[in-house]
Amino acid sequence: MSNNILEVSGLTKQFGSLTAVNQLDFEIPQGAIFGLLGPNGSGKSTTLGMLLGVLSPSSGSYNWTFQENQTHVRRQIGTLLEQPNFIKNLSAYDNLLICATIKGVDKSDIYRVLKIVGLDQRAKSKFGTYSTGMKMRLGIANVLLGDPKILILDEPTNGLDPIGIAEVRQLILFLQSQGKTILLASHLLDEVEKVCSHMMILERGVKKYFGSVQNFVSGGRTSMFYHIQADDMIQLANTLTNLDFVISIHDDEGKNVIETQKDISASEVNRALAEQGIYLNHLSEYTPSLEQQFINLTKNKA
Amino acid sequence: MIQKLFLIDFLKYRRSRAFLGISILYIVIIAFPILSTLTTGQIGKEMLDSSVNSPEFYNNIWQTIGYLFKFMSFMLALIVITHQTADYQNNSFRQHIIDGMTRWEYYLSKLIVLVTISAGAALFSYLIVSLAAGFHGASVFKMFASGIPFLLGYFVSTLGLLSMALFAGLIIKNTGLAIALYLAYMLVELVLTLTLSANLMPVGGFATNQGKVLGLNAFDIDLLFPKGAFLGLLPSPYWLQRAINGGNDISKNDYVFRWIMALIYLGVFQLVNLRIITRKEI
Repeated sequence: MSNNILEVSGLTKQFGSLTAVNQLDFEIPQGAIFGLLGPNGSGKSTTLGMLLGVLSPSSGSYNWTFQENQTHVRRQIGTLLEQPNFIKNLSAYDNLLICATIKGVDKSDIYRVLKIVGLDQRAKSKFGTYSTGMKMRLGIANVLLGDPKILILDEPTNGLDPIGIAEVRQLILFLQSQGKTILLASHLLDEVEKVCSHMMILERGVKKYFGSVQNFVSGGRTSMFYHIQADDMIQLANTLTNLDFVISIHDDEGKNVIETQKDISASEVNRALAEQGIYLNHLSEYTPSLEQQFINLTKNKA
Repeated sequence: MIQKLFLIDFLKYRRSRAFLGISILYIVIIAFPILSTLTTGQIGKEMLDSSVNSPEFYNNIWQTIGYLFKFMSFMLALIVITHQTADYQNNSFRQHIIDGMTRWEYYLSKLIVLVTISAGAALFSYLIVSLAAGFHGASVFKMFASGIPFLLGYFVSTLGLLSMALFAGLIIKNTGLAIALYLAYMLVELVLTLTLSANLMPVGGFATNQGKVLGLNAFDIDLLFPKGAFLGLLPSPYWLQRAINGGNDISKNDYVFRWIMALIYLGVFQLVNLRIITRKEI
């Protein structure tokens, strides 16, 4: 039996002439916290929409491998897609009762999940009277109904204050410790770096990276980064632009950062510059944050 | 499953101000005057001229009540449109699918609502008629037995008009625009059928009911259109009387044709609504 909980093959979505998602192939391993990353409009929500049946794929397929019958598979998945969709003039309890009825979950579970998100005292209040943060917490309560094995969270910290964001982060890590598989879509890279084990980066509907977060940030990346300094920085910059293995040069708080091809070591950089008559006074390998890596990846291949 | 789907929409409707408001309006503003007319007004007096408990008594009272009630279905249509558009505005349709409801189940839940409202309206009309008849000492059992064809006609007529309302609510997300489209269509169909029948009927045909088009009485041309087909299940007592007086006996075939047309349109609207629900990207 496959160790993946979801397998996606060639998933494509077109809106007229616009290809919102293009030939996506990926898998989500069981028990992973899987980050779906990308700038706004990169196709994250469209991808999730297809996986959750609200949009029809133009081509390609997906398979939730934990259940043979795909018709009712979504009842086993706790989902918060974009924003909580509840009925304003119904109470939190009644809204969750509707969700529980659809999922086939006993209504006794409603107070359990309301307690987890700290809304049990406001269960009878109308959803329309809730603050943005409370609405988001009610959305998370719905996700937890029926104790599903898989959770899909699309921007779950939107609208939350710093304490709320930290609580959601803790909740995600707690849920993973319970053996849940979590798909977390976000454009907050810090959030993904802190909680995710695997990730996929999308840009304009195209997969840019798929693998573990650790690999992306360190060994698995497609290029190397060096902090570099010389006495004559202008001459250094001019020389670097003429070196074949240099992919990009940018400034990082006063220091030059060069991005080179993956197999170029620090000594090779030093030798190449020395051959051009430039002697460095600083050269060190540099591991960029996920955010810097992400910006580099999307900037270079756009 | 049906119980589950019923519960989901019941939870939405029971706290709805639109549902409560229109229902109260339906009962108080319209039904009570009918009851009052039946018991004290001219129509009531005419019907009471037939001896109570005679077949004519029941026939008259059901024809009248069925004819008057069918126009109230438009009020019920407003409830359906309001709730369908609210499902879009609250993103409930989308959320239900995300939570695991299939699109077929979503369609069924809407059909259950339409059937429940239509059955409720038929039951309400029965209660009104029973009250009026009971007021004059009629047998409630005979009242019910004689009223079955009218109740069925009223039920299907309402179900059809509500299916049209659901269609309007499915294709337009804005409540006001959807209601406007629904009412505008009703008006357009009325003008179209009146124009057609006026042009197709020979001079004096309307008075004598002599004009025939496609085997239909010319002023029954509206049966070929959806609203007309649904409302045609409950022809006016005035029309029935005039048709008989004009020498056109209302044959069994005429009623069969009316039922066929209404059922065809009912089926068409169900299929179209199902197709929209299963194909719509939400």
